[in-house]
Amino acid sequence: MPIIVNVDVMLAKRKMSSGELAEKVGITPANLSILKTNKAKAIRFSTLEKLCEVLNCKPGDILDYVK
Amino acid sequence: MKISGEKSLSSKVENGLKVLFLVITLLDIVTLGVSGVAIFSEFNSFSVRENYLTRIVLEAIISVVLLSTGIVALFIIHQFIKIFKNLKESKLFEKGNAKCLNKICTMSIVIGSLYLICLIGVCILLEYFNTIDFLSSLLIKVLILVFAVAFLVFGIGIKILNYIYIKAIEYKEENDFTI
Repeated sequence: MPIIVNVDVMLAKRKMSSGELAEKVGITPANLSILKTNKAKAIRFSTLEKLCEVLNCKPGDILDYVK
Repeated sequence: MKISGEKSLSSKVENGLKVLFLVITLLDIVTLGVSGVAIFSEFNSFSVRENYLTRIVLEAIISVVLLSTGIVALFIIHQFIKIFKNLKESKLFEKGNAKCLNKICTMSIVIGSLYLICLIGVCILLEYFNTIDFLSSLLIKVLILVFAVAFLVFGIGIKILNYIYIKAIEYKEENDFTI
């Protein structure tokens, strides 16, 4: 899929662990892993909103389009 | 009543299918023995009739075709047992179930085709070596045709159900991978 999820990059920039992000966003570590490994088929607006809120960034910082 | 899981309708159907599998296996073996002995004894009898060998060969072909439908039916039951076993284990949307349905579809069409071959054999047999009245021969032909059409329609129906099942698996996967 050409949509890439850059959560791990944002986590590194914010020096935050995956577990901490999962807890703050309110998703399971397994689901966060699916998101990080680009296995996710879709992302809910509510999850994206929470991710942006916790990581203090915009959706474009998390999602990228690669041809 | 529970449909899937332990002590559910699925587990009861699975057990029923296992019994049916054994019964059909026994019937196949008995039929094989009986028809084999019948053909062999007729072949060795001293009564020489017109086109005698042709009739024996034709009867043997029909017996083999009918027996092979029994064997293919066993495969179909085996696939159904696999599906109901998965349902018993609450594995509803498994790719394995879709594969089983696909195999059932192919095998049903094979059985339908075998019945059609059998119908041709029976038609030739009744045409040239007619020993029964017209109404009985017509009834036999219609019965075989009904079986053939039923299995062909069943196979096509299962193919459509398999398509719906595959779509359901895709939707479930999409739902599972929506974060």
